[in-house]
Amino acid sequence: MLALLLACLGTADAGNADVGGYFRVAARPDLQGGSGRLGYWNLYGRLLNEGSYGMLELRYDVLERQPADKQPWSTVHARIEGGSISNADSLQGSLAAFRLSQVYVKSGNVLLDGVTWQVGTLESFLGDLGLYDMRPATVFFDTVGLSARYESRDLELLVGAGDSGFKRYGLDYNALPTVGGTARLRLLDGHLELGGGGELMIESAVGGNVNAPYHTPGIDYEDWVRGEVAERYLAEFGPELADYFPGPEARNASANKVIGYLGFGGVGPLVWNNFFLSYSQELPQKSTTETMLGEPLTLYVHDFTDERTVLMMGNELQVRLWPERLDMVWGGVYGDHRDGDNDIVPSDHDRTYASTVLRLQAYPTETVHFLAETSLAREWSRNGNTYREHADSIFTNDMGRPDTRGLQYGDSDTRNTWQLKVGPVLQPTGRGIFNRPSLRLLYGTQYSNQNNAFGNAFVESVDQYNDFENVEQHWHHVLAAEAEVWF
Amino acid sequence: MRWMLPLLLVGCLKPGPKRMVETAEPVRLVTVLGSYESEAVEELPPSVVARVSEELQARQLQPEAVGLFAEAFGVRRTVPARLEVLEEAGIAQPVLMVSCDPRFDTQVNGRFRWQVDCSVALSAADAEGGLEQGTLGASAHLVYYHQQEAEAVEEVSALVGREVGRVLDRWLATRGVPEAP
Repeated sequence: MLALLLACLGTADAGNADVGGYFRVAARPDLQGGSGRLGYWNLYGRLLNEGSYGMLELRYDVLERQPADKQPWSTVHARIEGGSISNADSLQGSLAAFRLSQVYVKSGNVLLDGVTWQVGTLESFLGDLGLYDMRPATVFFDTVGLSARYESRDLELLVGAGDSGFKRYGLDYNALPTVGGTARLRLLDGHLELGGGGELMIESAVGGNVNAPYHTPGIDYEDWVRGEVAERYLAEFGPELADYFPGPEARNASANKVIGYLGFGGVGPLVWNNFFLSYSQELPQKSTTETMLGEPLTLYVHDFTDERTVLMMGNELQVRLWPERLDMVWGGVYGDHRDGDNDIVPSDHDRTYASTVLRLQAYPTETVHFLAETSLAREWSRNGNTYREHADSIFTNDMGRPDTRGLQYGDSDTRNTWQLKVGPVLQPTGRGIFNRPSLRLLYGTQYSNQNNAFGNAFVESVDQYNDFENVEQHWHHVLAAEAEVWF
Repeated sequence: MRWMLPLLLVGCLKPGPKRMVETAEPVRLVTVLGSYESEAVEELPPSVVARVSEELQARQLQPEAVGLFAEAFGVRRTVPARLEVLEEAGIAQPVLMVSCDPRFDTQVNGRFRWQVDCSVALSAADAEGGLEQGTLGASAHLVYYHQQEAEAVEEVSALVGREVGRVLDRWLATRGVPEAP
């Protein structure tokens, strides 16, 4: 990676290489025992809820494109990114936190005019929810392969195909052929756009391949959830039949995703409104492990995890309330995760959440601004309690009663979160909520019904022999000096 | 709000121009926004033209818009070729021409990245070699897909203005205009 970076930098004077990127770094001393983030995740707005980040985007013009020219052109792109910066987070800027996330070659005016071919990583999105740093309408996030993008003033058409196996499974790679595409229409230039698309992944049964999808027959869902499959088997058949534990049966797996987009604006004070929708059938999980008679026992769980779906909708609008003086961005997100196999245990695969974030940025001068953002969010677990509201909340319960065999956790199935962030902002390049660089001095506060609803290092158990006492707090305050820059 | 006062004061402090002529002088101003997708050209967005004009006015130079030679500029993309067009049209010097040719680069983590290449050319008899030039290669990270060439230049307008200032100061220096105290 370093060699690639140096190679690009070394030829920058030739005018056909470019290094761009993004950095986000913050000092957020947390005096309440937290890790420097106001809340758990960016459902409450990305501001103060995301950590450090660094990204370098490298481009080299192998065959430089000329204006209004139909000659072939080609560029190679590489992106290195990761979530750590020295002195700003626990990973200390370690390169282990970074990855070569994108490498692709784009070529245009080859074979077909107006078509850009891309080989390599293929991630493509229809837009962004900037307040949340979420992109529901994304395809090929996991895919390496080939795509063709046709663009005219009124139409953008993308089709692609490749393999998502390495991104999904890593060392447990199994081929995951992926096809998909998007289409976007400019119905009224600068005022109205409509888009949609999707992708399909198919993972076929390959007999004998340990990384292919399988299911272990004859095991019970609840036993699996409790980690008691081996125990149940031994109780039923005895240790002398341990070697006859059922072997896995091959399965075919698939996943798909449908996305939609509606954008409009350029009317009066409305700068733009983005609406995104995605509905996906998730890939089933491969396996989990238990121990039987001191030996690891792999359980293949295709049939227990093949009914997981995710619906996500998000909207974000930007309004110029008072030109040159006050801008507003207002966003909302709704998510519904369902697991058709699971009716008994709270899980991230069986929940809904909704949130709204409102950010105002006032411009006393061109470069000195004032920011205020507030958010309200509600997360609900479909299968019962999953949040602890108090330091002495019970861990396992059922119907509100202590139950060591219960599958619930804590004393509430709902987490309500409110946040407020305010402070001055310096933006040397001028006005604009999304203009960067942005140097901010922010105060943020959060109220949550969950106890210590932020990354922390508190003792959670209520053991009488704990060395450290339990802490109960629902308010969280953070001061931050932070910078964010695109370049 | 009193604690914000020092910040606001600092925000209002802008460095003045390095050089300024004693009495107002006219400068013909031409701005050109090109596209990689077609030969069509247009003028730079009004906010960018305003920023360029500010740089001129800060030096007591009065911008006089001379319009766009769209057809000729569409096929002649280089600075010398376009200055020739202006000369043939009898546009009096000094002429300041600011040209930008943004091109879409790639999608990057939620943004639409554009490469914005601009040239600033001041053609004047008293410039060294008759021409003072500057170039700018910047990137713009636009939030929305519908934003195109004009918005990409607007995003880097502070850099365009600064490059215009540099070119003007170099030209004024060759004329012997002293630095502002």
